Amino acid sequence: MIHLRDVSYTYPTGVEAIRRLDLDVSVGEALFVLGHNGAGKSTMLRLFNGLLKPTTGAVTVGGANTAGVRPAQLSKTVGLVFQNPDAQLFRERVSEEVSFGAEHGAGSDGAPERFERAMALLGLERVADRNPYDLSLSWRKRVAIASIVAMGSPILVLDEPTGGQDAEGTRVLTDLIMDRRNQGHGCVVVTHDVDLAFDCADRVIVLREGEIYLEGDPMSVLGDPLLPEAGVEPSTMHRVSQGLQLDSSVRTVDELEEHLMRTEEV
Amino acid sequence: MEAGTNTWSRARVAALYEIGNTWLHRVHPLTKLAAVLPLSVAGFAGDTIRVPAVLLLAAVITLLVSRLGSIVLKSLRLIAPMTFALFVIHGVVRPYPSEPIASWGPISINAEGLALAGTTAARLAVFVVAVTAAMATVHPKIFATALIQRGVSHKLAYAYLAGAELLPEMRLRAAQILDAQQSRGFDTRGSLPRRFRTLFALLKPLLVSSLIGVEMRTLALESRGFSRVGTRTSAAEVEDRGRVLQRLLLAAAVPLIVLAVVW
Amino acid sequence: MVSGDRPTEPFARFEQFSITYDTASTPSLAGLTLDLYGDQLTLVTGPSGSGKSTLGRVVAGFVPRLLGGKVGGSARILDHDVDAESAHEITESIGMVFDNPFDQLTAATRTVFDEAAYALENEGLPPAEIIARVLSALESVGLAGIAGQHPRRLSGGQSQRLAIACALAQQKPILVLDDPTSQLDPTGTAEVVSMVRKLRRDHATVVLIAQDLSRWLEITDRLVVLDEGRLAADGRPASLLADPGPLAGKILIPRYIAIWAELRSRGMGLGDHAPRGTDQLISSLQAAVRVGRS
Repeated sequence: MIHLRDVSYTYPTGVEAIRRLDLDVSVGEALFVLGHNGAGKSTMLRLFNGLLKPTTGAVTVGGANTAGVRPAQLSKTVGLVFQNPDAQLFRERVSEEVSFGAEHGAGSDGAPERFERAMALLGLERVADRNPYDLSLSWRKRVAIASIVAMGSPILVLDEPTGGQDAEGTRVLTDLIMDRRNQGHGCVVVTHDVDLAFDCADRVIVLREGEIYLEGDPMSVLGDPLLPEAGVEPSTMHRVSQGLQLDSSVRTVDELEEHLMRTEEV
Repeated sequence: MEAGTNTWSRARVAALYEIGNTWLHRVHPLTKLAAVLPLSVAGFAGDTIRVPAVLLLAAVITLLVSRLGSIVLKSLRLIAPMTFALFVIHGVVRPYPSEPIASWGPISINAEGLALAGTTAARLAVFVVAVTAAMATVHPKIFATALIQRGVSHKLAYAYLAGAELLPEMRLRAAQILDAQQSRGFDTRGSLPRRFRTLFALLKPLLVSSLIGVEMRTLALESRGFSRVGTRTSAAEVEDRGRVLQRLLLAAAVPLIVLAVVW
Repeated sequence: MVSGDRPTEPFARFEQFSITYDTASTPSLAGLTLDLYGDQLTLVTGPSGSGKSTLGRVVAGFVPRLLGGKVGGSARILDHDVDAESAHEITESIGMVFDNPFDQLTAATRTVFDEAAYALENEGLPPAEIIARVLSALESVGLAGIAGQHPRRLSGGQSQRLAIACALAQQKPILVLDDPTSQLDPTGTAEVVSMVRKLRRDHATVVLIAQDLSRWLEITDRLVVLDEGRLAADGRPASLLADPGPLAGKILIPRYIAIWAELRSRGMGLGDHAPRGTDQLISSLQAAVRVGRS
């Protein structure tokens, strides 16, 4: 759905944020993007929906080169939610904010269905009549995400969705990502939360200085010995496996228990 | 905060101040400020462009000789759009009883209009160059310290300092909001009503996010003794001098005002 | 209540304390009874809207003095009632660091040095003392090398360290940190955590409000969980989290504790003290395996 071919982006200040990047994002996968601040993550997101146009190379979204298409147009294919909800919210009620997204999106089902579904997915029914600005930051973030989810864009891009979320918010957002995976919708998540990537990702890329440094399935990438070089910690499970010097990394508590039992018996 | 810092590096840090050690930098900040008044008033002496033009020329030459040409450029950038507007309004748009010196269809250029525009622009330029030269050669903090020394409220000094930083901060917020709104399907182009709607969607988050920021900033300032009563000091020691000269400069404005009125 | 050694008197006493902001219909804190002690790191957590930020703002002397609100019960911080005239003295003794690294800057300074000096200038200290104190504060947070940089050019982690330096320069003995790492990347978070660890070695009193506990438990002396403005749990983190089940909906259980609790519930002999970091989990698993072998 999104294709980056030999893409570089240099800011007017001369900072080369993305270097000769090749990447394909397909509908139906949960792609997680990790990396140090300044590694190029937020520049890459802005290339996905045409807010930035590549300095060299080409970005195509749904077959169209983004160079000639406005971000508003591309948002029907790539729905991008930034980290800071306060840059987005402007309606008096949560329900109005979300239905704005539903009305401005596209999709096979109608706006009312998309609205209902987004409200339910983000657990917003009980705050539907509240003013978004009377809610706490973590709730405002859920409202901002719901509004983009309601657009029904085939690919949803989330920038640091679980940052500052409480237990309930984290569960709701994890469910949202898993729901999109299960329904065959695309989802790109930029995050520092390595354990979230461990739980939800189909594929992980790690950016470093504007280039793809590591790429692969979470089990191989999130325990890679090169990971710390990119300023990213291994997942908790990988750290445990490495700390116990297990011969292979474990994925679940069951596998861990099995390994520990075997070690006991030796 | 990655998005924030990134956008920030795209936004320029607006600051008039230029580091340097010219003679103008060494003049006490309030002396420079005091000199702005008689200079700008003198520009209004006489009905013609003569006095402001001479003052302007003298100021520009002085700045160039002092290796402060960048101040001339900065002033020019501020003056240029206003000068253009003045020439359009007075020279072209405004009707005059006398014959135009040239005309193309509905557009006609009038000599009186041009002269008026030129004089007004020159007067304005004297003021802008004087203020820019005064402010670009003093660090804002030194300026604020000098003001507080002379009894100006520290809250006013804060407003001055924060005001100088407001523009880049607003620009940063606006850039974030513009990105977010375009990403949710707002088109920044299109029909007039649509653009108005877009403007609203941009302004509301700008206002609200600024207010949220303001609340936190208010508390943070409170934590730093902002509303504490009592004397204040400054880590940047500014020698309190030039009081006589400053009074003389301010006093010089009086005969100049008289001159400007009667000439 | 936490059992254990408490050499000092509490610096903050909440007794049936309630506060309802003027714009709100429900109280942010509702009948809270809690004592906070010096020379400790008290970690306050709870769901969004549980009142933990409000608690921080009361401790810092901001509420109700600056933000208003209807008060019930009593809250005394450093021997001042929070709703008394003298409440501004609370703010003068307690340092505050907020979650947003940039909105808490004064926005009126051009250098890191000036930012840290601002409070001392307001206190009217002699310039020589200001310079000495600021340089020493910047030194201890590792920012002395960039004292001349524009504050807006700092990374999030550096900016938070600068906010801590401001409080250090003011020589405030108590710090309230309101989710100081929630908007930082892992590098910035690590910087701030190690900074706070260092403060604790010097016996600073810290009230830390946080959503994500995983990085903090290792240096936490006491864990306070709020829910709907009330005390939901209070104790030493290792014992309080040994049975995380009842707290699971209220707080984010760190992954290393979830793994530990799951294995323990399956009968593995892992003791009664929850690990306070992944390294502790690993060593307790190693210990369990050794015991199993012998």
